[in-house]
Amino acid sequence: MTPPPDEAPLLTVENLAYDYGNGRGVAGVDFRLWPGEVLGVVGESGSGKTTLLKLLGGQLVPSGGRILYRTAAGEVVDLHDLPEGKRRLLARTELGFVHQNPRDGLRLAVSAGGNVGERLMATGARHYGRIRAAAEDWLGRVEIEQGRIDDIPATFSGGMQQRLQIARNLVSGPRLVLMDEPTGGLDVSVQARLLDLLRGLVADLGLTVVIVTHDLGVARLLADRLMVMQGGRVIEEGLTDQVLDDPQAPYTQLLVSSVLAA
Amino acid sequence: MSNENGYNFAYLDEQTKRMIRRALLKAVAVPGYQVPFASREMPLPYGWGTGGIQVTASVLGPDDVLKVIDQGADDTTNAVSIRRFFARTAGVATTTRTEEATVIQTRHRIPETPLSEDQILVYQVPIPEPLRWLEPRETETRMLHALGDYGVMQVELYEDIATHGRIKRSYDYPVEVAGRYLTAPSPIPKFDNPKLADCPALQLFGAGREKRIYAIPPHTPVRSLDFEDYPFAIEHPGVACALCGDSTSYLDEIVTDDRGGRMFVCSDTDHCGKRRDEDRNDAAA
Amino acid sequence: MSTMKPILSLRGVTKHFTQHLRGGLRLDVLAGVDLDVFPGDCVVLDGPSGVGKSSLLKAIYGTYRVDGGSIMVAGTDVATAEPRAILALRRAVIGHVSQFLRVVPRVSALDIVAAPARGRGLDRAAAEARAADLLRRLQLPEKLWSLPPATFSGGEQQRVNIARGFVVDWPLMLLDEPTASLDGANAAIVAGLIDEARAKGTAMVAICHDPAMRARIATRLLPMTRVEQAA
Repeated sequence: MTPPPDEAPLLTVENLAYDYGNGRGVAGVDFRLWPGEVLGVVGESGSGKTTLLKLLGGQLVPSGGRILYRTAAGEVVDLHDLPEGKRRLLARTELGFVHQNPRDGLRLAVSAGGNVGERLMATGARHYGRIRAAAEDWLGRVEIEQGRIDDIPATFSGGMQQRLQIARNLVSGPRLVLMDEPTGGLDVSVQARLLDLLRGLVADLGLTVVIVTHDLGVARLLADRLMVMQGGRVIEEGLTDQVLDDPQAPYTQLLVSSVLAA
Repeated sequence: MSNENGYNFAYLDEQTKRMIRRALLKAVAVPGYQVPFASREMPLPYGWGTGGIQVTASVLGPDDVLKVIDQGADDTTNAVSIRRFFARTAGVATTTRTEEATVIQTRHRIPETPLSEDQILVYQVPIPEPLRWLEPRETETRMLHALGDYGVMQVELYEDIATHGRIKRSYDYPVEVAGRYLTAPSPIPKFDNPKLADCPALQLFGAGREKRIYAIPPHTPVRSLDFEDYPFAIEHPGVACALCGDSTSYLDEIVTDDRGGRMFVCSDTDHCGKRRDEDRNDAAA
Repeated sequence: MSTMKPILSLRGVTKHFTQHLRGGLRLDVLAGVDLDVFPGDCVVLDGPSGVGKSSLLKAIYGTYRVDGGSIMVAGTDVATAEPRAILALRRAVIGHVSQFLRVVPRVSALDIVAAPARGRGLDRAAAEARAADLLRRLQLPEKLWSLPPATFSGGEQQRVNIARGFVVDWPLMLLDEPTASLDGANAAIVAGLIDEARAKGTAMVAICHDPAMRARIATRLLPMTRVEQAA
């Protein structure tokens, strides 16, 4: 079978830059992402990977370059050139953002069902029974016991909070999901469960994902492609196994060789 | 235009009244939208109706007849004080009869007697922002209103049903005005919400401490928020007023002794009194 | 045979490593490899340890980048293709059976084997049925199917790995010591799977040290010699 027909990329990033003002930030980031791909962004602290994700997610405004996103309707929009209303609408329908700390991505005083149902209510859902049924369905899919639908996230473990955050994002059927170290800070067994869940959801839902992680094992498990960042720049990119098994750049070689095997 | 006490008509200076009237015009032009205004120092503290008083002062003319109620009653301390304030500073006629008033200032109730096109209802508002308890940042609530982004309020109602089996909020029940702005109708009981819609009178809202003015023009659609399967419904204890026998008006529950004795009485004293007068007249006839 | 087009065509494939952590030490591994593989072939790479056999397989799969030459697979040059083109090849054209199963926590043996079938669009039931057939044929005890292979023996893990490789049909398969950890009986079963695939037109490139196995499956050998190191 020949390569897939020339499908347009879902996300096109051109010469993206951000300057924090002290000489740090990111610069010269270029890449394209096609539907169904999982792009891992790896690097150590200060590499710029989280800055890049925040630029993609709209929490930071670029100092240069642009981010083009192809909507479900087929229209290509510059994410930072959109009217605020349209940007927010995209953010709660087609886009998802999973924060490293689930408490940043949840309403802590709102029940699990309310958290999951919010995107539906924010886009016009007005039938309590159906909203609740959708929330129950999603809790099941992220392996949260459905009986906890009325409990607030403060009563959940870290791993459950993270799964709740994922459900809250996925309920609107987003096409592009950004994840910031989604397994960071979780116990190893909890991490394994979450990774397994993410792998399954990405495959079942055909999600396109950009996942930032410092854990190369997570990158290998979830990502099809990798970008290695250092000092605010992308210093190497390619297929995940290319970058991890045949690293070209000196820093990548250092990174790969530094990982301890279990 | 100062009277012998040295105050301008209705206490406020003319420039201030102009400023408030400009805000009122903006508010009427954009129903339900909270217009910021330069709330003045009034001779009573915040929390006592300074917003309502400033609005009343700006719309009052020498020929107006003013009624002031607090929780439906003309004879509570605050209603009496405010009525007297305007009697002194404006010299206007005052009344307790709803149908005789041209301007009615109210705290936390809408009169039972239907209003007419010649009347203005001025509400005292503590917290004008319906989203305040859900989103503490003013910058963010302004953005939410600008974008019509009210999902968070719907989530709040969802939580009510999930926790209590029904939407439990019983006053200051959020409404959508003219299909656009989410508005706090002030802490009137939800029983009164239906009266907000398609009202022949002009409804003005003033929040002195929060410095906001908003309005519902006459005959404007006003919808109380709900769910399709949990529709908005008013509640009534199903008993009649112990004094006048009305079983459809909003009732206050009064504890009469310390053995659990209680009675239900119309909250709207004018409405109740009128019915009792009619009964007496009927009986006499 | 000469009128058929090769499914895989290597011309002048060259690769070296530069080890920056060792001061830029250069290691040449492949120098100008040429090869044509036709449907039904099983080409076994022949040569001592360290001669570059694994590297060649990885280059064909796209894991290793090459410095020169072309690797044509079904019309795409793996040496210069975009990542997504290579991903597409890996989904539908090139199957890869590695020497050791890469263990993923929590995923059961059955799900691991069924995954490529699911990736081709089969529903869960059909994919699991096929996976079950293969695991049964490879004599993996049924009670192990629902367990994650992390605690399996090497031979059991490898049988899961092989089942996964053969659960769908591939135009081209790359096999890296597929039977090294298996006993004679299981190795024979794998040889049977290879035969059947070849009969359906699959082309294979394999690394196999065991002489008996090699004799059993190879249609051709590609001799490889140690590459001269550039100065």
